[in-house]
Amino acid sequence: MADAALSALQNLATAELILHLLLGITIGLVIGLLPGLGGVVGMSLFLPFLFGMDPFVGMAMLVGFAAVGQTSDTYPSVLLGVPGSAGSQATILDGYALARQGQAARALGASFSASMIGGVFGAIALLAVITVARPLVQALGSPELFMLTVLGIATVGVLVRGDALLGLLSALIGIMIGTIGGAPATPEYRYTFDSLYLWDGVPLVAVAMGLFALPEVLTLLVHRIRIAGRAELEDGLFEGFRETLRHKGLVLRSSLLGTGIGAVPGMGGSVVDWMAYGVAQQTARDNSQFGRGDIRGVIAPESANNAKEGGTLMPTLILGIPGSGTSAVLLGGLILMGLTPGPSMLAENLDVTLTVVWALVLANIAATTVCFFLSKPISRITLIPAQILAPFLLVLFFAATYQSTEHWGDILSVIAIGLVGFAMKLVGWPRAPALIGFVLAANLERYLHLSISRYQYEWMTFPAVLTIGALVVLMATGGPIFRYYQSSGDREKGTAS
Amino acid sequence: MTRAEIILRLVLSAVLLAVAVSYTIIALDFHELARYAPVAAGGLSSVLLLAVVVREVVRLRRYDVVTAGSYSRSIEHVEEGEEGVTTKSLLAAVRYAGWIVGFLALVWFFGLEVAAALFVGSFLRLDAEMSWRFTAISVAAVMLFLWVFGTIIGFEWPEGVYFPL
Repeated sequence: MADAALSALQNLATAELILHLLLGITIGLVIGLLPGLGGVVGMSLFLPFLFGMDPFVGMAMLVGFAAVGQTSDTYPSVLLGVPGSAGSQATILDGYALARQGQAARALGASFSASMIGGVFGAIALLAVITVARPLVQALGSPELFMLTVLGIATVGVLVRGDALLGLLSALIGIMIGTIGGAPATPEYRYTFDSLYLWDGVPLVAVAMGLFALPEVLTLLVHRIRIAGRAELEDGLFEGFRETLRHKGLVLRSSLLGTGIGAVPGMGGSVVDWMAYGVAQQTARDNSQFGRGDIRGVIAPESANNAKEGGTLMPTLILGIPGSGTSAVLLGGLILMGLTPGPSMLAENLDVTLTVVWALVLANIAATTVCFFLSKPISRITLIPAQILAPFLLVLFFAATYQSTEHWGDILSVIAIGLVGFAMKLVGWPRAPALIGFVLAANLERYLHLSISRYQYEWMTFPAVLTIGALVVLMATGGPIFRYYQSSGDREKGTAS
Repeated sequence: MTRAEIILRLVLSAVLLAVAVSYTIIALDFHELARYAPVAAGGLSSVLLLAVVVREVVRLRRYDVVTAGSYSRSIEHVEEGEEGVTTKSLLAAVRYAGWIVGFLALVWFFGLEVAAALFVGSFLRLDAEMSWRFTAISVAAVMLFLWVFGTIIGFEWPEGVYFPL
């Protein structure tokens, strides 16, 4: 195995492969900067060029793109408060809060360094488990996957500060939007109101843009402010890097979590950042600043987000089961290049698989270096007054949104959801749980249906189901209970003093 | 929390309650296998939203006596430097929502490329009160951006329905 790994590294060290890797990184960087265009949409652009391409060259380009996409999508999340892709949603909570305090460079520095460590961790994990992962992944059935999905929604209990009722309601609204379109178990199209556009449901890009982008732009315009509240940007790029090293335990824990969740087919990247954020908040000794600009709220999701790429590639390469939207496109790319994803990737095509691992390592390091040195000039965007920035952002948002299905419905969906999102922001309803609910709605329904169809209600007694169920209860109630006792303690201290 | 915010929350909750109840009623007509999730999500939402509506009505009635001190705000609410909800801010929000609707109308008529140029140009001149020079450069930059992504990368932009240019 060591010889094969070394040989794969030598394969990658050719001018042609390095050039294609850099090409993938460059295009990924540009696409990742545009809110909503990262991930699946961006990777899909590559597919037409892959047909008949040498597998090594093609994989280097694709992996380069995938790695940088997970890194550069932090820019819109931190600087604009808009998720660059599904995997960078949780970064908004603290990253954008830091940007508003004039600490965008610090947030970006921490984010990119955490991303690099997470990405390399994921690649090493992929290498380590590539031969033993198969039975582990196959052991997860629909009941366990259903419970893992519920666990994702249970993070709401951790994320929402104060009014857990509103958090739960927000998640339910997300699930309601997520049930629009075809039902997973039967050919029934729900809430489509005779519109063909709604048959496939509302696209994730439209929901994310509506919930976050429009409300943020409207808020900036209404209050006539800059994204950064202060006129000066603090020089915190290397400070952010040092923060990441200071929280190395958190980086490793989040990377491990990201790799683990990424390896579960179907869970994908949409939930891993939230889970990492929730765990970081839950386990922090002092979590009072989470959501208001705590650097740990940036480090945890970004480490997990990049680490998950290695994890996601495990089921994709070993079983031929895509772990996320981007890995589904990657799978398509493999097929276009004449490869057969699955067990053969560990036998006759082991060299390609190991090249993927090395490409992932190199791409993460190169992408982080590029993003790191571009942070300072790019973060100056937060100093531009809203009245000047807003028209460009609105054009960008609508142009990006239209790309998800190239239908007018996308734009109308953004407007409709955006108005609800703005109202939610005005009255203090948390919007993040709605996005989690929306993202997980399809999986929730699909796995529940499969579980009941296969096992009736017996699946509820499975040991793994009960274990994850206990975790769900812990996640959902632990946060509010902990905060209740914490605030009771604070009140008692206040009374005593 | 201001009185205006409580009223806004009440209105939002009431509207969402109406949507959730309608959503649940519609779900009852679905095939059995397609019904579980919508009925569960819609039913639970309706109950919880009703609770929120009742809570906000009570809160509104007690507003003069009990201030919002015991009310915990969510993590996203009213960040540093922002003001709470006021009539002035609501009017400003309506005005900017009007700009967005106007932009959409332009896209509908002329397609994205022309609409983007018109929107960016008029917004920068009328609202941001920028110079003609800055406005012209900005419009050119937007056009170049859309051209690069439309021509070189091959993105499709929405075309005007009535006046495709």
